[in-house]
Amino acid sequence: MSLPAHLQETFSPEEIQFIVENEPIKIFPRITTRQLARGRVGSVSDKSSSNQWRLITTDANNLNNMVAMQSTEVTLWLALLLKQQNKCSIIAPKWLTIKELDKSIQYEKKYLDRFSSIPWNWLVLCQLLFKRASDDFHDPVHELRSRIQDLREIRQLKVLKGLKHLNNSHLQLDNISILEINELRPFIVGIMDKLREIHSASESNDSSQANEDIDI
Amino acid sequence: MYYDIDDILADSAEIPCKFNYDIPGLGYLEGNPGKQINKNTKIQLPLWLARILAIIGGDSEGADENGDETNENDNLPFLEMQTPDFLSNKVINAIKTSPESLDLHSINSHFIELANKWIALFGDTDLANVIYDLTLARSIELNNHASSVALELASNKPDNSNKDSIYQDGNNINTPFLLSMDEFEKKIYKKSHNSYKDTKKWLFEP
Amino acid sequence: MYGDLANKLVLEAKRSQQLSNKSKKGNSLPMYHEELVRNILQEVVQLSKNTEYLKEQQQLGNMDSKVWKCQQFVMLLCMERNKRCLLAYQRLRSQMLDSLAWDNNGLDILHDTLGNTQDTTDLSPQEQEYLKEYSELITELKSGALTDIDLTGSLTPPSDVFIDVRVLKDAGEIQTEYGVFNLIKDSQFFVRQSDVERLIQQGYLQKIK
Repeated sequence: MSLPAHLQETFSPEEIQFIVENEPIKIFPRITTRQLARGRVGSVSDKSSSNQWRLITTDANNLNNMVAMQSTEVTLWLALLLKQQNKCSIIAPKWLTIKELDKSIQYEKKYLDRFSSIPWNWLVLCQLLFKRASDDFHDPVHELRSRIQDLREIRQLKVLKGLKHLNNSHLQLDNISILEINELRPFIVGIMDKLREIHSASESNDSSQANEDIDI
Repeated sequence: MYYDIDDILADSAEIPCKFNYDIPGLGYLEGNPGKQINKNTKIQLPLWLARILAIIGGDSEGADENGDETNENDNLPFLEMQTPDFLSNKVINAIKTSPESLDLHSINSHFIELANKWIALFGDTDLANVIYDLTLARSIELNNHASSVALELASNKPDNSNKDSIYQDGNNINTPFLLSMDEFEKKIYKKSHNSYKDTKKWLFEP
Repeated sequence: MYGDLANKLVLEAKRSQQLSNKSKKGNSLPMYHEELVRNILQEVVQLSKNTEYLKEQQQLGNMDSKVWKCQQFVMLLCMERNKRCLLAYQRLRSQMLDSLAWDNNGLDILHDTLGNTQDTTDLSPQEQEYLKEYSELITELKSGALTDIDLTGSLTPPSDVFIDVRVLKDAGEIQTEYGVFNLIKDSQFFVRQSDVERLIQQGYLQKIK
């Protein structure tokens, strides 16, 4: 097959990162790109500042109209790029504060059969932001990191416990993030498929050949 | 599925069969070429052979010719498949008592697939429920092993196959459960373990 | 017993499957079992001769129809079993050749610098032919309308524009779009990812995180 074996089952975390990087995030730019209206005729217009970018994959409006220290929203990959070049600082998302994380942890501990509703990309975002923008947080990063670790461990345990509800027809997984789903995918799909086979084998009285999918 | 190697290997499992007729010329199935097989002899035959011979049998074509009405005996299939060892009552009881600690691989390396085929052939709902519970219980144990990823720092040897990462898989593959998995479980374990490993590696890269 | 040889072949196939799963860098096929395949084919020919004989016997009216039917079926099932095993063996090998071709098609197929040598003597002549023509197909696919996308390039999405790389092997001077680099073992460069992707794939450079 043209796709290598390790990608045939589920996405790689790098691909998940790529998908997540397409989401918008708020930043404080440190440069101004907006073309302010020139009033007087005959003033020397700065040719170099008339560089309007045109981006292929996303709307360049926000990028071209940045005013320093006014918050604006761009895609994450763009924000990380600007941050790397020291041209902006990233605003931490609302749920990524010690208070909010503590609330989520409390919720997780209280309701053992549900997951708290944190954003679908929380793990990936945290990983990226801690790596590249750790100075933009109000709260100390190591505290945030330990909260995130706690959250991850609690959720992992819950998933492990909830696996006994696997059956051959459906699985309800509210509020699990994309990275968590991704890592669970091969296991759950494989087992549910087998359970489905067992179930349908017992229900059909014809020869099993007729019911098997031909997988070439 | 036709081309699937594990399916082919599963089909080669031997099933005890009882012949319903005398068939000359098939002695080689017993290891006695040239002799005939007598009615009610029991032989071990591979599933791919037994499966069809247990369905087809003496046709009713020839039976109508002599007008005889007592020809029910002629309509039996050529042989009758009997419960093989790996699905005997002893095994079923062992499954019901402790599914996770059962050494599935030593009972038969393709146990779950074979059980599936048997269920499909006989429509045996009881067996289906037993196998269903078995698969589910063992899958939880499987997942426990697959998700406990122990990462160690890889040494900087030049032959380190994982050039891109400083972490290496530190999982011990010799735990009793992992050695007792059958082929299907091994496949699932590999896939899910790789996925957990990749995720953890990505999360902990400095 | 008919079908035993075929079983051996399938076990061989399973072994090569497991070998390729275990080895992390690429897969090299074990030797093609010419002898075993030929023996199985001989068995099939013999079985088909038997069925011809049986058919004659039946037409001459020598046999009880039931007995004849049973014998025919057994022969037929053996032949089909042999066929299935042979086909599965071939298919497994050709699938491994396919992934070999895709993995290495940016590079020279039979020996690439990652150390993944596929010994051509292990492949049957038909398989060698197959590999060659499949690789040509891939090259043709890449050079059609899709020249801008490198279909056999890296499958990891890029995350940085510029990356740090370390040189693993001496490779002399490399010309890139933005300048010339002199590749000496263990030196490090800070370069644009798109330039060096190919070299990383070939194993000359290693990305430093």
